[in-house]
Amino acid sequence: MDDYLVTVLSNIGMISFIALSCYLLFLIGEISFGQQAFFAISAYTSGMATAMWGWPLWIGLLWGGGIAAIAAALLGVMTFRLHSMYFSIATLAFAEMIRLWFVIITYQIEIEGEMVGPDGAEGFRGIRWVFENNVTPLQYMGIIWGILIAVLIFFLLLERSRLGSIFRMLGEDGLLTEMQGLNVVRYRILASTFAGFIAGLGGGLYAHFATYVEPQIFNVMLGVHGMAYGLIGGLGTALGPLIGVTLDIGFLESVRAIQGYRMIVFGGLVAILIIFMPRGILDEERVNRICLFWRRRFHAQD
Amino acid sequence: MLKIDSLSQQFEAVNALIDVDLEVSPGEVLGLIGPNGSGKTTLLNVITGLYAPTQGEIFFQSQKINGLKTYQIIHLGISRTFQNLRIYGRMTVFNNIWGAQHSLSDRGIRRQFLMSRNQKKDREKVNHLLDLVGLYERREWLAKQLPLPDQRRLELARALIRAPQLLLLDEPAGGMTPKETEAMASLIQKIAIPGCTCIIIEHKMDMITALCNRLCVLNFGSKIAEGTPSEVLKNPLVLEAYLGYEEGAHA
Repeated sequence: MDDYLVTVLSNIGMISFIALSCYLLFLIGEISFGQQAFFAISAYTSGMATAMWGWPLWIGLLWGGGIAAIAAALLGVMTFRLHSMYFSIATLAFAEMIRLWFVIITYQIEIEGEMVGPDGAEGFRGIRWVFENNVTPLQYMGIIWGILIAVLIFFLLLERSRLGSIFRMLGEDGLLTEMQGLNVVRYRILASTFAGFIAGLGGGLYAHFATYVEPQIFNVMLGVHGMAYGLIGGLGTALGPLIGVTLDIGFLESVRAIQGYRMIVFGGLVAILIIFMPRGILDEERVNRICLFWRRRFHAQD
Repeated sequence: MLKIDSLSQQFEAVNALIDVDLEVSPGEVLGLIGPNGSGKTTLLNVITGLYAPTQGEIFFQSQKINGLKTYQIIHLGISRTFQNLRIYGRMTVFNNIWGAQHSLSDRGIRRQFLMSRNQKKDREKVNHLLDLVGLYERREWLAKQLPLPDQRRLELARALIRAPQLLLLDEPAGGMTPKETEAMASLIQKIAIPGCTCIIIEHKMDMITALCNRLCVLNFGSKIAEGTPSEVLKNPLVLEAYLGYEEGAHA
């Protein structure tokens, strides 16, 4: 496979994690401008785990995702009373706080005569697990997509489960959901925690792919893109955000003819879709229609 | 079953409920009537824990329920519907009802994740109820695609799936034509009243007199009359509350 294609597919895979993280919060009806914070937290912590402490990649990823999930749970506990705009502002403030904290924090140790670790605004260089272990870009792409598919399977199971329907109920009407005897706060915090972990997996993968992270990467535009992907692709199924990512990174960023105009085209696309398809291409109505068609065609009536 | 003891609810300068006493015994169907703004919906909201009452106490099966969280009150066996119709519009009809019974069993989060909508026991229960309210054929429609009377029926079914002991219906025939109202009344008679104690808020007197064995009348937050429908509708205070209001509308 040619190198360029491998890079594009890897990018699509990694950004899909943050898109799915935003999607999970869309499900419970909240707009988070802060999912990039969990991406960042895990990028740093999993990078530290492999580069500074010599842990294997998979433990580093779980560790990074776990720290991100804990941070997300704490943020969820602090924001469970906030809704709509106030929730968005709180998550944005949290994410900026985390990013600015990475600008000032320096924690390095010497490994083989070289200083390794986060160095404030200079960033965190030398996350070289991929090179040290002779993993080819193609193999690393396989790792990214393997984990992404696992996350997607989790989402597909979630959509069929009671828990998934509770999340959707929460997203439509929180008060009504409490009237069904469900402890709304508990499920809100649970969804935030899951979303933090998923964003964290992407962040850890990104740090090892790029070998270098700096705070500036994790600014609010990363989270805004994550949300836009869900809104483009549709909020009816977890495949929606993937469609959004593929459209943007796979098409707009990669087609040379529109290079330089990418953000203009992307912005226009979002604006048009918000007007004509407010819940994306694969919204609940279309997903339901596809499911019905599928069932009529291939299954007997129950 | 339900005992309300000198309940008052104050919002800033507005007294929404003033010193209301009410007792509902098991199996009874109580009609809660009164002009607009008289505090009927507020009373249901206080019972279901949406507001903490300013004064007074509420007991359900001799357990004090004011101060409990809404979902805890629901767990005790109370269900309600809403005057302004609240359904999950973007979910299917089936999922609307299926979703309402998640908290009945296996409340652990792990079990909620492992249980899918293919669980046979759940499916049969939901399908049976859908059949009773006449929505079985349309169970895979999105709820927002249903016409209003069917959405009201969906709301009734959703309240009944938990097999509540006390059912609070807030204008179950709101916005319906006389014919649809009649159908709704007989549906309530058939599937709701046999299984649970009901409190029904309604403006349509035909429906109220057909369903309820006792009426309670609120006006400006106070209880002004209570008794059998024929007694209450002859009560001069009630006539004044209603006719005075009507005269104003004609002037």
